[in-house]
Amino acid sequence: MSASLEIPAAPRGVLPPDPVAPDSLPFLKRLQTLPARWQGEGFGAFAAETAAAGLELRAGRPARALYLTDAGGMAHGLPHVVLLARSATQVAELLRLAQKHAVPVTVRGGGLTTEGESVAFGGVLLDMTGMSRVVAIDRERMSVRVEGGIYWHSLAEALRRQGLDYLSAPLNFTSSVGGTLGVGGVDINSPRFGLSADQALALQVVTPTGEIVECSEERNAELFERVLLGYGQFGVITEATLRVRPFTPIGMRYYYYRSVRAAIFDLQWLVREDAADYSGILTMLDQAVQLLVAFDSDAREAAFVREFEPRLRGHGEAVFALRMAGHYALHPWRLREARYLLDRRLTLLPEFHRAEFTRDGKIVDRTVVFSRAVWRFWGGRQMVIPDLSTSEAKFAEAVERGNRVCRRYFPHYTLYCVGIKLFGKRPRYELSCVPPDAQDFAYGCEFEPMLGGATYSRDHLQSFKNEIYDIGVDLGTSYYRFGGMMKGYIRRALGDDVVERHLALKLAADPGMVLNRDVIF
Amino acid sequence: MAAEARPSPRPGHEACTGCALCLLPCPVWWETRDPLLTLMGRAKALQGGASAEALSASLEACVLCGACEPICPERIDTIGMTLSLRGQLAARNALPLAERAREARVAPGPAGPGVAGSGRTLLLAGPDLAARPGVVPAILRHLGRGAAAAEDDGRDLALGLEVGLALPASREKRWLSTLASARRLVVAEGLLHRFLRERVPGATVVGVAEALLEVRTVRAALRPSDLLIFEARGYHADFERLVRVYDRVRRDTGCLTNFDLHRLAISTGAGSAQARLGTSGVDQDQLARIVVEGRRPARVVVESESDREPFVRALGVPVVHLAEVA
Repeated sequence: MSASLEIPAAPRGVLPPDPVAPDSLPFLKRLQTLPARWQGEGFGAFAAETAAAGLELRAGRPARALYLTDAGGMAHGLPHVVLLARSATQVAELLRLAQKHAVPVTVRGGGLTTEGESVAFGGVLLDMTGMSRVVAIDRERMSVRVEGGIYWHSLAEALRRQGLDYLSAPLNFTSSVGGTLGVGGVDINSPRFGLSADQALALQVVTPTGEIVECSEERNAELFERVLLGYGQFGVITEATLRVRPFTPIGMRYYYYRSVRAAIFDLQWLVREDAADYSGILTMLDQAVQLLVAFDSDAREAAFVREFEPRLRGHGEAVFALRMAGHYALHPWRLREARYLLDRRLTLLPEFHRAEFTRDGKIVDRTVVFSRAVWRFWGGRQMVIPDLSTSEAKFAEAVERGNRVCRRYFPHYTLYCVGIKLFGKRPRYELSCVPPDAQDFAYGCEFEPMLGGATYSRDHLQSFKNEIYDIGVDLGTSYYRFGGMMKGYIRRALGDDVVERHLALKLAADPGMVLNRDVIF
Repeated sequence: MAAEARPSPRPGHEACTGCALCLLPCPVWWETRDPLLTLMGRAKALQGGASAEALSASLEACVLCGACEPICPERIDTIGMTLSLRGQLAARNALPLAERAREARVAPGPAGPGVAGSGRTLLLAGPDLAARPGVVPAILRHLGRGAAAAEDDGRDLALGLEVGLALPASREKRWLSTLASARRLVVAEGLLHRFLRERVPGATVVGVAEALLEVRTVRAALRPSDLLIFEARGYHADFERLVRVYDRVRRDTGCLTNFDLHRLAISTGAGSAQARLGTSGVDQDQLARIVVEGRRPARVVVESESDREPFVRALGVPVVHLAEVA
């Protein structure tokens, strides 16, 4: 193995071999796709021209400090300037000038990336939340047109007034629609509705060269497929038309398991059989695993109870509690674990049953109930939630291996598992969170350490995340949150051919590589 | 000690993670979609080394509705933080809102002719209720015997507190002494709720709506076609308790409310210092329209008298005070 470090010269636009730590990834070819980070070249001329064009760029410290890091809290950087998006025309002008002067533009919605994807290391930070209004609700076509920076929660707010709901969205208040469509979007009803990106009917996109283009499956379909799940590489979503559905409160049921494998077996069975409207797994301890299912109607719930419940391997809470009590009676030295479990039971589950969000035993406003729980129990200064997205066949192994990694790094952690319906082999799925070998369904698992009040070094947290990502490389899976610092993983997990093909598409669409340039390539 | 918020044991701007949850119910955000004008914008800017002066516009914009406080997962003392920053600027004569308040020379307020007195239940009406003929007597009638309106409702202290002006300690002491014999304070100005709970621990402090909704005839007079507009400041100051109280009202009466999906109250900002002093604040009519959007109430019922006009302009249906429904 070579110990020398050679940095080959390469002309601009040509991709040289990666000069960094050549022997860090034995037997795997790595390529660095950009010659170097942007060093501020051309910014003065860019700033002058944007000012002349009437773009209000904010350069003050308060404006820039808002974007220092993302939800992951591991990557930090400041933009030179910030533009609060107000219109597609304005975004187009910005990108046209950025392209002309080769100034990078980092786009941000809710800033809920975890690997620094929405952190700007110089250049322009384009804050899309300035464009966050509902444009129109079409009850006849059951669709809604929104601006790209709108939070899913704000959309829910507007739809609820009309007795409507979106199909699926991340369990997080402040994910933006545009950002979500760019990466996927997973909900506990994704086994039925797929990714949030799959509910998009049409998009208004500003391309990296500054054209405003309307696209859909029928119109400019290639751009539509590239932008959905495109990690912001092929355009900025300034407006989106989404499917909607009638709003319904949901009835929830929980089943408890002693093993995550048994719970996964049942989850996958329920998903295949379309047995529930919502389903997912949440673990409290390795031996206390919760399968939750929920229903939009009493009829669906009754059918589930009749046809599926008797065949589940899990138990209701009372039976499970008795079994656990017996277990801890025989293992009194594990009393601390029992106390933790009890504490989780007493604090987490009541969040799902708060009186103000419950009517007639059903959860009203699930978006609020689930997102409150997410923020209350998993939010914080650093969101450490590496994930794996696999085919059905590989899922149980991926989860069990990831679980073992969690055990080595943290005393307590939660796994959140969910199925994702796929709609054939859509072009958008290539180089995305959808694993290449998944057929009808993909499965995602988030590994979420319970950090509590403990302090962990960045190295500790990043090492944990990388170990999870390494499982993906080994098994040939994908990830929901790839990008940012994970650039190296894309080639390792998905192979050079697919990355090269997408890089060629990117270079054709964005010759200056200005848009979200450090996220994927 | 002057009339100002006491230091809070809860975290300040340093604890903000930038999660942006506080934006969701923020009326300034609803109207401007500018994160710099929100609590998160101020907190992150301070973390980034910004001075209070650099945040002047943001501090001027906030209507102190308090919706950011219950929703903050870090439990930041959001109101205390904003009041403290306003206080810093006001002390340096660098907050135009405070300058306007100084010029306005708000005097200690009377409750209105013929209603002031002392009792175990004392209504602190504030300027808007007192100015509306008939509403204060109606409230007192519902509250029953032993209820009276305070001669001095502390409106000057409330305004000073809101804009960061420290008023003389002697004035605060004199005012508090007039409240000492009361067992229950019904306070229209929500910003005073937390202040009075700290200063008058022997009395129960409630808002006008909570007091009136305990009255069976008032509650029975609410209809499913009513849109009930709760005063945001007092509600958010005691959110964990009141959210359940008002949820029962919603269940029992079927009426609509100005709550968002979090059950936080969307404020019009009409009761804010900006509105009182005529400085540029949020667009009250626009926010009233946001509250009403997608709803078709037959009548709007307001807790805060200041909300009457924005809803009259926005909706064109009858707008009454809660005390007037029965």
